[in-house]
Amino acid sequence: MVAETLLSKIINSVERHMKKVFISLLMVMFTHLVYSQSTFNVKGVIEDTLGNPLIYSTVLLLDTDSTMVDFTRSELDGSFRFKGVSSGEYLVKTTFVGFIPLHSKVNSRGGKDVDLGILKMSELAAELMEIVIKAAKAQIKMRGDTIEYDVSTFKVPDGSTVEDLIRKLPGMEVDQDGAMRSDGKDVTEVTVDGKSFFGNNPKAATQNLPSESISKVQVFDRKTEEEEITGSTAQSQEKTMNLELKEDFKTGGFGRVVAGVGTEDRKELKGNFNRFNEKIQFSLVGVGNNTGRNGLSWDDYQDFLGSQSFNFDSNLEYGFGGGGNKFFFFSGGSNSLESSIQSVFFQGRQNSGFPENYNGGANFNYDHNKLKISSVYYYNQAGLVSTTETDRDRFFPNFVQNEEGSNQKDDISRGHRGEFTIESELDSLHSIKFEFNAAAIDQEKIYNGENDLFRNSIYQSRGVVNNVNLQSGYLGNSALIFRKKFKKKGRRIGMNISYLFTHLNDDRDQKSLTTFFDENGVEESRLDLNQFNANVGDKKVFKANAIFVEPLSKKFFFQTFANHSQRRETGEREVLDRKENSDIVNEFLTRTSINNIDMNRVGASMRYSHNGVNITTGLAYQQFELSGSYSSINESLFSGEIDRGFNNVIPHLAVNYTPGRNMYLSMGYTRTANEPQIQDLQPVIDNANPLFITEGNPDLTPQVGNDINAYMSRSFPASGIRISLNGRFTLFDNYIGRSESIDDQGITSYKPINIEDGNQGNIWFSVNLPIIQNKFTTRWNLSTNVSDLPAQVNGVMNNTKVVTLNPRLTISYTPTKDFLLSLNGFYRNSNTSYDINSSQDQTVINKGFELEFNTKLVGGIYLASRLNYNKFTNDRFGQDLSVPILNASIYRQFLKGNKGELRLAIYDAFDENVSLQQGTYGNGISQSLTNALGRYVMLSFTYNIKGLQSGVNKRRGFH
Amino acid sequence: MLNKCIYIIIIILLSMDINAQDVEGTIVYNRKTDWISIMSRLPFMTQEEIDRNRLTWGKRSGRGRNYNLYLKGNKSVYTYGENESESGWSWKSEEYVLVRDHKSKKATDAREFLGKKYVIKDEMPKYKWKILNEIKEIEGYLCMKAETKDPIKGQTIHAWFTDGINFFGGPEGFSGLPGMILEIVVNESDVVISATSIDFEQADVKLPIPKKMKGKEIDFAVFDNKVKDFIDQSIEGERNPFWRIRY
Repeated sequence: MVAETLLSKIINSVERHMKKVFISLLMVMFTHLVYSQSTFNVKGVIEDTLGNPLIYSTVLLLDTDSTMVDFTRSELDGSFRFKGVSSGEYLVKTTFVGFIPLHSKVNSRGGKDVDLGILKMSELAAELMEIVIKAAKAQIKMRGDTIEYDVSTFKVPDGSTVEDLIRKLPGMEVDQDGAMRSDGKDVTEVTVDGKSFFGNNPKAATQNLPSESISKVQVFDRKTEEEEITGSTAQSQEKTMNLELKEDFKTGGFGRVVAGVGTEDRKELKGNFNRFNEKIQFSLVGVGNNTGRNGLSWDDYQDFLGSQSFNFDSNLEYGFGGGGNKFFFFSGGSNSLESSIQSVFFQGRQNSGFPENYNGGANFNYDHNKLKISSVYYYNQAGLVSTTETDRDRFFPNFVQNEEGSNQKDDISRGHRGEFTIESELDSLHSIKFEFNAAAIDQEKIYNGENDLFRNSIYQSRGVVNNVNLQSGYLGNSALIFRKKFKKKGRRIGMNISYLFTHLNDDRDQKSLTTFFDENGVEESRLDLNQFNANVGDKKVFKANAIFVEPLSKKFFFQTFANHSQRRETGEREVLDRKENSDIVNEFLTRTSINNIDMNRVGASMRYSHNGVNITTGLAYQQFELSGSYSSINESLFSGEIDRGFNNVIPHLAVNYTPGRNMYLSMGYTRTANEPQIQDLQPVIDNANPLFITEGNPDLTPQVGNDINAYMSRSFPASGIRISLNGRFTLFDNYIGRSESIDDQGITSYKPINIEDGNQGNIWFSVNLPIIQNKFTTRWNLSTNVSDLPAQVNGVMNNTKVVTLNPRLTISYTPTKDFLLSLNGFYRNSNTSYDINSSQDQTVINKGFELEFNTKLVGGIYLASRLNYNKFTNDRFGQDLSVPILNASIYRQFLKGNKGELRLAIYDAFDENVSLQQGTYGNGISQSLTNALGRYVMLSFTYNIKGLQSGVNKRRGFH
Repeated sequence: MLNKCIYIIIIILLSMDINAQDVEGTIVYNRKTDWISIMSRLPFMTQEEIDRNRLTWGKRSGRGRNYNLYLKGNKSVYTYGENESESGWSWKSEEYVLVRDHKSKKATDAREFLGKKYVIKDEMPKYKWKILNEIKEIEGYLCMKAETKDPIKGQTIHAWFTDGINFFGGPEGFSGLPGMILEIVVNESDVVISATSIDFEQADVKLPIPKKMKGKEIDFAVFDNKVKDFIDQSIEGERNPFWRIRY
């Protein structure tokens, strides 16, 4: 049967070929009629070395530069024929599976036909075929008689030498002592990249070089000098081996130093160094300055953390999924105990006061063969000396309280942070990751201030405060994360547990003297406070989370998750009243507390996902259990226990739609429920600050936020137009606000309460509109914020409505690579109205512009300049302040490859720098004016081992 | 020696088995893009920026995207294959269906460029192939290497083709070699489109030719001009054009 079908197939094939031959014959005859003068025919027969015809082998007719002109296949007798070939020089290349391709030169002058006769093709060595091509999947390259292949495709264990590799190669033998033979001939010389480095000992290279550094092994006959010159092809009995090193393109590195000195005693020094290759990334960074510029950019951040720069999967609390997290943000630049290295890296950019900052660290990443290790250490120290004048009005149903103050601060904080991560891909379906972070901080804050209180412009009291605060603490945080995928695509499980502990000591030396005056300005009474307040807090948090994802079909995905967390906090506060001769324990304020917060959440969601549409709906059930105890050192004064439980249902909806690559739409609804702070539940009065007395509220329930958001973006890449619109609105249930009351002496009492409702929202709109692509572009931007948040003031409900409008227009003009002019104008109007006292409605305006001008001057000198103009107005404090800040620098690059740069810069040329903060809050309005570093001139030198690029136009983002 | 002869005969018979009938089947290709390498070629990038990108992103590699080449009679259709996203997140793909009639040498492509849909009706593009002296195996087929250039995108393209499949086509519209192209390598490693499964066992392959192709009807010359203009404009503005258009 089989033979029969085979036979019929062969016959069929022959028939088809006959047809082909016939048609081509006709065509050839036709073409001959037309081009008989300038064409010729080529023929030949292909056989193996034993004289068997190689049937149906592919024959290529190539130009002398190997460009294919025509192709055909050999017939059953191994013969082939090209007809109607234009006269000239050609190569005929014959190929057959398992044979070495053969090249034959064809040259016809005057249209004479060429018969190549019998072309004998020799077989590829069977081991080349089996071991090199099939098993190692290497591609082989033929250069005349020599055959080359990429030996890096041969798998040898990590750390193997070239010798271990050569043992695996077909045709090679290696003795026990390392002597090599190729095709039975001794290898007497080893060169690396054609150069003889190892003298007469060929083993020195093969036994010492790591196998992974080699891309090719070439073995050829060793020729004597005479043979080289005469070109004698006498068979040599010795062989030379050349090892070709892998192209080193995957190693790289950076290194930069910037040093500057300026007037007004300003200095800056910054350096970084970085080396990396395929497996290892190592970097160092260090910065010190007193200029208020942290000096570290996104580039420095990436150079420092390398492949770990954007690893933000440390949010271990699983949820509904469903995307929406298109962007990532860094939280603050705070230097508190739980701040991450990523967030403190950019810390230290102040435009107020006189800063002095030192940062630095080392990072090491290893990533190879499914194992990833990264470790990083970072130190940062931030110092700031500042003087601030504040002005604050608070509105009450029938009076206004005005507070005028000034203070001096001298703060310094230091933090050491280390992070270690190890991640291993156990196999293609399982991976495990362990993280450990440690941190230690200490801070010293000195505060000296005075403030005067007025009630409806009548002088009420004067306070003088001198506080010293020392804080120190440490943190340890570890997490174990396990991920499992299943054979079924899309089904997966994620599980993690984490444990965090912190310990914080906070000592406060508090001195204040408050003098109260009667209506006639006569001193009525004095309150003298001199306390030492020592707090010790410990926190332990255990979390366990799990998620399971199951694809129900190609379009539907089911996801379920569970989150559990336990927080245990203990706090001890000791307060000593400092008297002239001795310290007395303040029994009312000295207290201990234990707070336990347990959270359990289970939820599930379903996602429809098809053709650019993703819809996620989900529901979760959340349970908080708050328990604890509090007690004065003298339990008979007060002590108590808290035991509250809260349950919430959390619905979730998210819709995303991408109709095409240039459009994105999304909208969603989600609910959040935030448990009250446990301290707010303790019904204890705290009068540590006698002018601001706080009291807990045991009846508090969680604040629930109903959050609606929508996002739209549309781009037109051909014209460069891009439009985006983003909106968010939150409606609160049981908003946790505060009840605030103030007595005749100006003493304020606060208590947290639940209030029926409140809301806040914002809309952000922007259009990028190029007038001339790449040369003249505009960007239009409008953002608005609205909020309507309630609070209780002296027993009366007050809703404070704030509407902020912030249009912005940026125009950039870059006619050439060496010229940039950009103008960014903005206007910010904030309108606040108060229910309880509509006569106090406020408008706060901040407007201004940024003008940037960069250009190339003569002699390779560049100019960079920026003028920031800010104008602040508000009627309340009669504020009308203009702050123009001009920074300008000229610089020139020099040294080979532009590795050096010398820069002369002037900062705040008009010497007008101040920092003004103004705004409205709750039932009040405030402004504060802080001194800032003024005019100085700085000369700086940069050395960059990679060379610098001049240019005035900054590219941003990813390339 | 006898063994060798038998081996040769078997090879011949096997190859005739394929060639003796019309080729009908599906080839699945995986298309992987090396963004770091593409970015490194942009003329405005400094060595420092290239190194920084490699440092930060170089260790991340995607799984690539699957494409299917359907073959039946003299026709082939190349379009997206099955791409199950593990996250269960769906993105809309650009229109991309390349229909080739190898007998009439006609191409009918449904393509999308910068958000606009086009139907390209034209002769199949002719490539000038250089045949090189390298061989390797792909999915059981021994392949030869050939080289051509794309002057529009400034690319050197290497194709690995096998004469073991008697159909002179390939992925992404490449054709004109004496056999089927099983791998396309653009600029050394920027994009690698490699066959991952070859199935000629299917009984009746249905060519997924869209009944109606939406879009403006143009030819290759007009389309190529649009591509060139956009690349030039992007490079002048120091933006990577290939975030927006197919590399």
